[in-house]
Amino acid sequence: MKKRWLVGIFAIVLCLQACGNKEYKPRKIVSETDICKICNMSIVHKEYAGEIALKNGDYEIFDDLGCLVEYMKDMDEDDLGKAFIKDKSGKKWLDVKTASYVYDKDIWTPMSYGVIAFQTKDEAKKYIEKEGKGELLSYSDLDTFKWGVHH
Amino acid sequence: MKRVLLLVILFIAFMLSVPQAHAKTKTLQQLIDETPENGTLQLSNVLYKENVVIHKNITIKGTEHTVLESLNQKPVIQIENAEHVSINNVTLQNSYLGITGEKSQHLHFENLHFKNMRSGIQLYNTNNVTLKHLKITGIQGHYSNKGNGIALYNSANVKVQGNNIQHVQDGVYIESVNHISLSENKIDNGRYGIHFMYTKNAQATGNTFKKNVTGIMLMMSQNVKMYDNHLYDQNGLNASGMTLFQSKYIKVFANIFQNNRTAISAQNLTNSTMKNNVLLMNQSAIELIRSNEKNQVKRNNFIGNIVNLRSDGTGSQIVQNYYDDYAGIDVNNDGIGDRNYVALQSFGQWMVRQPAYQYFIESPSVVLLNEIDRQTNIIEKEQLVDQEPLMQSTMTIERKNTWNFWKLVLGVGLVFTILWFWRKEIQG
Repeated sequence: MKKRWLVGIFAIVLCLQACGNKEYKPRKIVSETDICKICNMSIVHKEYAGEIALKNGDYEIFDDLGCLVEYMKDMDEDDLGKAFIKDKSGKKWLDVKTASYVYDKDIWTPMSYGVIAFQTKDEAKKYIEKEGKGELLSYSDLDTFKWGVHH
Repeated sequence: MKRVLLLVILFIAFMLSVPQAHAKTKTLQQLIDETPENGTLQLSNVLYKENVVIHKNITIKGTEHTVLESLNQKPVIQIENAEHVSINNVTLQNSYLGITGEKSQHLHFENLHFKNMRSGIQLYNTNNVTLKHLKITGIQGHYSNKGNGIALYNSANVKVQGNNIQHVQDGVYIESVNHISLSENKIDNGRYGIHFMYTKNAQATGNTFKKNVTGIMLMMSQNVKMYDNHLYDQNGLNASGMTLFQSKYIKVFANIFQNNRTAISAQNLTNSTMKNNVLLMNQSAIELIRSNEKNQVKRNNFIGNIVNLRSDGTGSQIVQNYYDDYAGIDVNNDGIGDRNYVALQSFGQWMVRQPAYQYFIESPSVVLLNEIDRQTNIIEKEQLVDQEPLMQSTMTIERKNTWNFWKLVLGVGLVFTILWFWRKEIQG
């Protein structure tokens, strides 16, 4: 009898775990087929790409952080699983909401918005120090940032 | 002895038949350095394998077999802070990047041939540039691994004329350029034929775009005129003749769009006009997304397209176009149909939201749905309605003179032969 109870409890725990927080991971970008959801540009510069993993399992792909932020502004927050952006090196995916950002009009990005991502604030500060220019931004700053007006 | 003599003769003949490069005693950089300011450097049939830097005003003229190659990933020719540089009749080949120019003006490149190059020309902060009769052929492979044919950044007063560009990422990439004209260029098998970004006061006329992902990609630009261009066979995945994104004061006049997946995809355009275009046998002719009433679609010819117009519900002025599937009549004979043309198709609208639906186009259920739409659309007054559809196309077809002398001779000969047999038959 005890055994049956234990098995039952174990099964319930498993079920509850499955219904709990889903882990969202970025998917691989395919240059041949992926285009930006906002501007329709094909993703040839993967090192600047962004992704949104939707709760329904779909992905939306973006060529530039600016396009991703524009999409996030209009989307239903309940649909959002997790948003990702490539870091400065172009190799690592970062959580858009926790990353730090640097803007400078001379930084080239596919849409020439000039904003790049770093995992930590320290990394972003070091970049600004090294380049001798750039403005430090947080995720909340991106919401009010005027994309593309420097041209 | 005879055999030796024969061998010597053969050797001499072989040596004479193989083109020999002229012996070079100096490097190209030395020759450039030795040429006086504003002087002309005439190059002969020599292959130079080096990277050169130009800081002075100079004219470089090559001959048919003057060939330059880079030894590394640096540009073959690098121009910096120069006032007048002209390069003519030179081949650049098998290199990562052909020519770069920075902070320079009065650059004139003509009759240059770029062969097997990752990128052709890159110019930054330049003024008064002419790029004429260039032939640029990129490397093999997918466009994501290639550079652009011509790339222009932060420049002004640029003329790009009569160039032939193929197998590169973007044929001509233009970013933050003021006053540029692109005419009579032929661009094929790339990602975008011309890619405008933040461009002001531009015009593209008489260009031909074939088998690119998009013929003209225009983004965040203003005051751009595009007319008399021929855009065809942009029919791969995500392909379009023109994609116009977030721009204003755009004029798309008298272009021919043929056999493209989407002929014109206009998103977030303002104060723009599409007029007198021929939209022929495209999957979707015009797609209007986040449009507004200040945009006009006027006097275009929609012929043989699967979907003529589709939108996300936002409004535009759609007037006096010709539609080959218009079923109305013109009782008063004023050339304008007596009832509205409604381009609204449920399936077309769905395709805007879910592009993957395009694979079901012309399936029996979609054909049935379109027929139902046609019957019920009569009451539609606002969305995708043309209240003055033209009864006749405004398209003028120029017929080329196809007279061929030999065909004529053959035809006449055939007629006489038949006559001869016929006569023989009668006489017999």
